[in-house]
Amino acid sequence: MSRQVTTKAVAGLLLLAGVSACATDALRVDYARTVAAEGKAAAEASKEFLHRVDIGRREANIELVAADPACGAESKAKVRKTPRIEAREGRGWLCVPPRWNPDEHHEFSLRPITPELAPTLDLISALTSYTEALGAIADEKADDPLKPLLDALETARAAEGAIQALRNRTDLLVPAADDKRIEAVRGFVALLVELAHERDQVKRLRAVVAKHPEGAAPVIASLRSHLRLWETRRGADAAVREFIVASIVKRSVDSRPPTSISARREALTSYYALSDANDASAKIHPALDDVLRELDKADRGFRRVLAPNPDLNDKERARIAELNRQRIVRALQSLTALITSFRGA
Amino acid sequence: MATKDDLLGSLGSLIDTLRGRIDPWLPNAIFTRASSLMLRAAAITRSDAWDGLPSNPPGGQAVVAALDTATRTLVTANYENPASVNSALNNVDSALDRLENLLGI
Repeated sequence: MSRQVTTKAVAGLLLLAGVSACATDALRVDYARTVAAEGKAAAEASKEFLHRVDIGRREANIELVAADPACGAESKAKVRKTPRIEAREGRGWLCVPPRWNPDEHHEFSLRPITPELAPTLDLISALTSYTEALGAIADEKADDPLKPLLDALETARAAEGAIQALRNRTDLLVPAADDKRIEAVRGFVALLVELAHERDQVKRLRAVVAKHPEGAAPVIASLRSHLRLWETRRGADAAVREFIVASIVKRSVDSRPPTSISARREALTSYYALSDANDASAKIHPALDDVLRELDKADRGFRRVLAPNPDLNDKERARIAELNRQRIVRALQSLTALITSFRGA
Repeated sequence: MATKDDLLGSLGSLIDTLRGRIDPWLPNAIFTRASSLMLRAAAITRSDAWDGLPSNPPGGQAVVAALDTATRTLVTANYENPASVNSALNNVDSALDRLENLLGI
């Protein structure tokens, strides 16, 4: 075997050893990517949920004021603890009008709750900062390692072409663009660069995690708690709205003289539609909580595999074995191409 | 030991069950009583007292148990029988008393 080929074979064996060690890095980057993607989905879903909470409160307030104008007289509706369902008057059956004897009542603010949602939105932003930092590192592409070399070869070829034209020569010293030695080197170097890039990514992921020692866990726990309170309030607003609409059905049916056909039709249609909509809305928060729980699990898994000698489960070991197999095949193919293209050089 | 989240979860289930059971065809007296309890529960959810409640409030377990019992009896009550419904509503009343006590409202 020629000296050059021997050197290349040794380099190839060293490369194979490096490939094995680096498959864990690929898993780490993969996990970071998952946390980033799930974090983005969780943040979007949480913001959308809070928007629905905001709208739900406004809709409950609208229903209060529409059902009884006494409810809209002040910024805090004085909702009777015991509504007067059978009262004939349209005003004062649900809320205590101003300057009336202040019967026992609850105070329900009619102002939007948008400012009160701000602390929860801040938690979502904090979660997003962490997951986006992971995503930015995990999704980076390695630079093309051969670009500077190929640019230089192109320049050399152009210069040589000019020299040939002046000296009337036809033999080439600079390899042609389609020379298979260039392709073989590209394949070999690309693999090395990919492994080095992953190692660099893992270093930077560790730096992000060092800035957030407990990862996303505290933020997720706090966010789930906030969202739990908002869900309870959302459900209560939905129930208030449904109770008011049910009362309107009752009052329109029991009214003497009777209300119009269209009023009764509208009341009952609204009641059915609202009841169905509320049943559907009640399913959103449990699904959102599941998303956040999965994100928490993904982040804990990522932090576990990021450790220097991680405790891997069977699935992870199988994944690393597969990554190793794919990379060893690729390394062998690159090596073969390299040796073949330079044989006889 | 029950957490603040457990309390909110149980209260949420109670409100949702009440919502599902209050319909325009209940007798007026029962409709009015159920509505009154539902408005009271809604007022409790809006209270600022939740912000100051610790994550593991002492006495929380008993309140969670009372809320869950109230929800269960609302589900199993015989709505053709006013006495059965009123008994379930008594449980709701007493569970909300305990919750208001815990929150200090």
